[in-house]
Amino acid sequence: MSGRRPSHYQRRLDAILAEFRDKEVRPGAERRHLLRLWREYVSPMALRLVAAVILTLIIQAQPYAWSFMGKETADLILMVSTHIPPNELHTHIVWTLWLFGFNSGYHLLLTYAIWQSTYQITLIGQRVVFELRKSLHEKLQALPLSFFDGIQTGKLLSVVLDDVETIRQSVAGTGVRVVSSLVTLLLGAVLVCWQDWRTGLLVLIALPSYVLTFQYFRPRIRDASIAARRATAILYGRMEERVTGVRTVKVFGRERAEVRVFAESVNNLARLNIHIVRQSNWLNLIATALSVCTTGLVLYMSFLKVQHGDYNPLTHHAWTIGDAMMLYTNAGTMFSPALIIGDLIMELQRISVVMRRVFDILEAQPEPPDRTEAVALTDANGTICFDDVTFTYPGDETPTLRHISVCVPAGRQVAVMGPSGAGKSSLLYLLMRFYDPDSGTITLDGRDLRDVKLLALRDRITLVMQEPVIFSGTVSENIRYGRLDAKDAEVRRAARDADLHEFVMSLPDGYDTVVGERGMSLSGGQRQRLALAASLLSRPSVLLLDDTTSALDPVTEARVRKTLNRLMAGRTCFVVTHRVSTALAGDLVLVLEDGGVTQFGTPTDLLAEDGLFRRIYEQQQRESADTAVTG
Amino acid sequence: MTGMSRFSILYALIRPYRGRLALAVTLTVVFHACSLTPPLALAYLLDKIIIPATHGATHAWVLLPFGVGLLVFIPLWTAFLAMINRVFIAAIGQRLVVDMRTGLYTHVLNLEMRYHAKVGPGPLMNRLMGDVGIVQNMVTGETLGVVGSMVALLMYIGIGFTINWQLACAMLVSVSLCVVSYYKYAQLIRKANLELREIMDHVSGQLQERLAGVRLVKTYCRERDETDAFLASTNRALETGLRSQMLSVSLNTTARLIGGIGSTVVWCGACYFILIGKMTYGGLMIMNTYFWGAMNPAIMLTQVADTIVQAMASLDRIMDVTRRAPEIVEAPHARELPTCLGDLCLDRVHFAYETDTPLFDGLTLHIPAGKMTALVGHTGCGKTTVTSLLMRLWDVQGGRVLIDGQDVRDLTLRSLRRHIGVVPQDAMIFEGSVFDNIAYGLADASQEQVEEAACAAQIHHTIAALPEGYQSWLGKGGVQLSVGQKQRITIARAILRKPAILIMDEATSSLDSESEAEIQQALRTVLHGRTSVVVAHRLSTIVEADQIVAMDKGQVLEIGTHDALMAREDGYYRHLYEELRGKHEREVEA
Repeated sequence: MSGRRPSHYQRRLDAILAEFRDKEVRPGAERRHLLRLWREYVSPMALRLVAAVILTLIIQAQPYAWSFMGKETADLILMVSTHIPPNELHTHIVWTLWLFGFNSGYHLLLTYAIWQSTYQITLIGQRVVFELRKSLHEKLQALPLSFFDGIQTGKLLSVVLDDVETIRQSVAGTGVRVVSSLVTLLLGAVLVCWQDWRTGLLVLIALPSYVLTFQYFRPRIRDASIAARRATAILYGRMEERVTGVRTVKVFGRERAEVRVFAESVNNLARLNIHIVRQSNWLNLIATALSVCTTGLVLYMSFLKVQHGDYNPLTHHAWTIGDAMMLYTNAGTMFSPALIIGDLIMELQRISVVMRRVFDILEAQPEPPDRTEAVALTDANGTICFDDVTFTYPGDETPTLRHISVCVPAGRQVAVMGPSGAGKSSLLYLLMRFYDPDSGTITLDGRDLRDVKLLALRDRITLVMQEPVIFSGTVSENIRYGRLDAKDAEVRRAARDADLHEFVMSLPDGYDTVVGERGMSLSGGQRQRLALAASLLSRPSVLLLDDTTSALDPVTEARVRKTLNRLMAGRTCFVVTHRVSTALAGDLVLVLEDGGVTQFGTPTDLLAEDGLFRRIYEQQQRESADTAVTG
Repeated sequence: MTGMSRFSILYALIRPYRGRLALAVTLTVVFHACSLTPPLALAYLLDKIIIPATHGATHAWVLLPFGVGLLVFIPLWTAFLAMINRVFIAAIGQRLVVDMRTGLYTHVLNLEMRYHAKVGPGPLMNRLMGDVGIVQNMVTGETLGVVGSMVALLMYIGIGFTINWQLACAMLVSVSLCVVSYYKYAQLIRKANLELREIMDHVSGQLQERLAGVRLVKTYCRERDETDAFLASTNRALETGLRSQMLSVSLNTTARLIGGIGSTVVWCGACYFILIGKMTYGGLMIMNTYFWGAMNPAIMLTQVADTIVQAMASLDRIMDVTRRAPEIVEAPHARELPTCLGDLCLDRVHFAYETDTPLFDGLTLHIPAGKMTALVGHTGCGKTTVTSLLMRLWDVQGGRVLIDGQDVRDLTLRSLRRHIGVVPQDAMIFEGSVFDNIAYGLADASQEQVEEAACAAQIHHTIAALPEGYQSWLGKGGVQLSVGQKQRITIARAILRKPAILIMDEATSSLDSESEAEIQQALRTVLHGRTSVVVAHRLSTIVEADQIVAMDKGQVLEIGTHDALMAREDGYYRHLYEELRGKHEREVEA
């Protein structure tokens, strides 16, 4: 074997396994996760679980009861080892009838036990899913944005839905099966030893070879199943990206190329799955061989006792065929859990992989909790100061913002300008406390943002993103996202202010028109205005607009701006913009270049300085002049 | 009728593997035939060796090692066959799933934008992931094995009849009762499962949106409300799930009860027949084992019933997608468009996104080759739609779209789109390297070509400054780009193919003035001699255009150069322009 070169198939498989191999092995994590799953999610239903286990024991004892009945049938009713005197035949037939009645009753009870135990197990599974999804969702909502930056939505989705579903299918079921298998094993061992200790010893010696076999296959199967799951997740992530961006795929005519890449990944996944089947097959075959050989030996030994007429101390007479058959059946039954333990181990592997993904989320660092001395802000003037703020995105090496020190008095409109990538959006994210700065402080009305309760802070400050998100739902639901208890009239007024009302009224169902993924699709400008309406409804003290009117045509933009100026009078407003006209209409201009503030002051002051602002101004004015000349 | 097409699709899938599948079925039959033998061996051991021996024929003891040996060897052999069988079925099942997945994915990518816009990525992802997964479970799980062992069931009953026909009848009745109860429950289970899938569709759609829009949720502090809403729908899903599960549990329990009672009948009946001397003790062992041999597949069938029912429901949903023929297909006589001048024409075009609200009602528009055409008008007037029609992302409901005088429907899609470069409104960046993202449109692009395009899009220096240059990873977990940078990457992607026609949809609207000016400069050279269609908002772009198309509510109101249009007293464009310029000047003065 050693000299043989690995086959093409084997090399290929090794490559796939290596590609998807779990890079971070954390010893002890498996046990900790299982414990946590038990403590937090399963143990509240301990009573149901105990009921399920007891019922399962009754069900598991059935084969032993059956083998006892088999023995009684052979020795008592049929008397196969001897002959029934003809005059007693009638009695034996009556016994058969008794047996029938007794057995039927037993099966009725057994059926009820099965139904009950499955019901309990299912119920436990459902509750665990509910609680797990609840914790996951709460956790996801509490996690900082940096967490989401590093993960595809598809992967999160598959954890919350698919992985939790996997846990449901196996948590109670597999747990109960493991317990009941162990009990069957123990019960069988006791019964076999009780009948004949030498046979018992033989069986007990065979069991360790089982353990060794499992030890050998266990890591292989686990590696492969982890790899399979990861490959699946990667496949889904890519698929989601392509289905979401199908327009780009089509525009560039890449359908065939995409399918080629996809087919390759799907093929690799299939190879992994077949590999898992092969491994578990070998495990099964070896386990079967062990069990068949052992029970064969047991049968041989017990028939030898029958042959030699050995004394059976339990029945106080010689070994009968019934005794031998019972010993044989019991030894076989005892091995049957050992056979399914192979499957159970696979199952447990699957859960432990899945559980790790679930607990990776549950154990992720949440948004830092509010400080104990944090205050709930009911109103704010809106004075905002950055004091030597430096900020680096998690995972990045170079800081995005460097030593920002700027003070904006309450009620001013600040235009934030600068080249793309200068950190304009990041500045707004820090104000929303989507992220916290590495060093330095940001204050609102002289109070450190971190000393304000997060909920209160975000109630006072609102951000409208450049590419706004619209949820599936009606127009009014989307606007009302800004403030749930808003009245219809208020929703309409906000829509009017965002220049959206007319458009909404042109829709078939007006404000009740369903938009988003399952409804009408909106253009970029319509989405921006919808988001703006939601933000106006929330009546913030500080409004952050991240180039929010970029997708509007200039005429609409001018209209929206006019209303905004009216509405924002007296409130602080940060506007990220590329249009010099917007900056000129505001009170202050903040120019960011490469993460640092290069200019800050009133527009008139900045025009007098030699800097980026003047250059942009001159350029845009030249354009305007050009058009005026050509016009 | 859906049944027919369902099976015809299944058959189409299976066809390439029918040889191996036949072999797998044969193996299954052989395997089950072998699994018939261990009870026969036990009966032989009991009836021919042990019982005679205990009744005085002591020479029979000599055969004991042989009998026991049979009992060891036969199960081993059977297990070995079972193993080969399982690998075979798994291999075929996996191939089937690969084909189904790839086929469905190909189909989804080929479906037209109308379908994608209507269905949305969420439900499509559910088909591709969830439903295919369920079908996969059926194909590769134990289900195939169970279906295979139905063959064995017949053999068990058949042999039962040779031993004792009354008891074999009892077996037959039990198995039939099982099947009947399966049919009775299957309908209910199917209904509950359908309901469950629908709820899960809703839950996953909702969750996906919320996770993708987590910034919005946080902005408005809706975390609590979102969790509550999610839990409410999860709860509904769980209740439905519990109902559907308990239905299948009831089915399974019923089957087991039938099995329990049936086996008691067979056992006690056999005792009676032994007592009256019409059967042997070994016969009892055989009948008992065979009874369970026949019942277990029947019980397993009810156990996997919900897998099968679920898989059938999933198959139905998958077929809803596959049955849907792509609307935008190449005509059988479709021609290649080897070279392209770039003369575009919309001829009396009728078009509607939703059937009841037409956007274009007989729109005619000519876009001359090699010239720059600017589409102007208020938001929602149909500018973007015009560009989508030119690329044949949607088909018109009436009229024609012509490129170089040929109907776009008479051309192959690839060659049509090969000549058109697009810079879309939303910059789409895929997870992958910068190089891959730019080279997306040209599979065999060289490093020089990519860099040239990046230079033209004024993004080369930014990329070169990244630690890994063009190999830097973009997307989640990689380099974070600003919107402007993303947009310049899409510009580079579009011009890499050196298209004859360039479509820009509000492409430069969110770039800062400086880089915008750089891009404008670069584009001027790139666009030279090409047809370009620009959905523009900037005065400079509009004024520079060779032809301006002023649109309102799906209609072309005016066409001409800036000067010509301005000359019209009270023209729509003039009005629009004054509005723009007035605003511009007001702001500059302020």
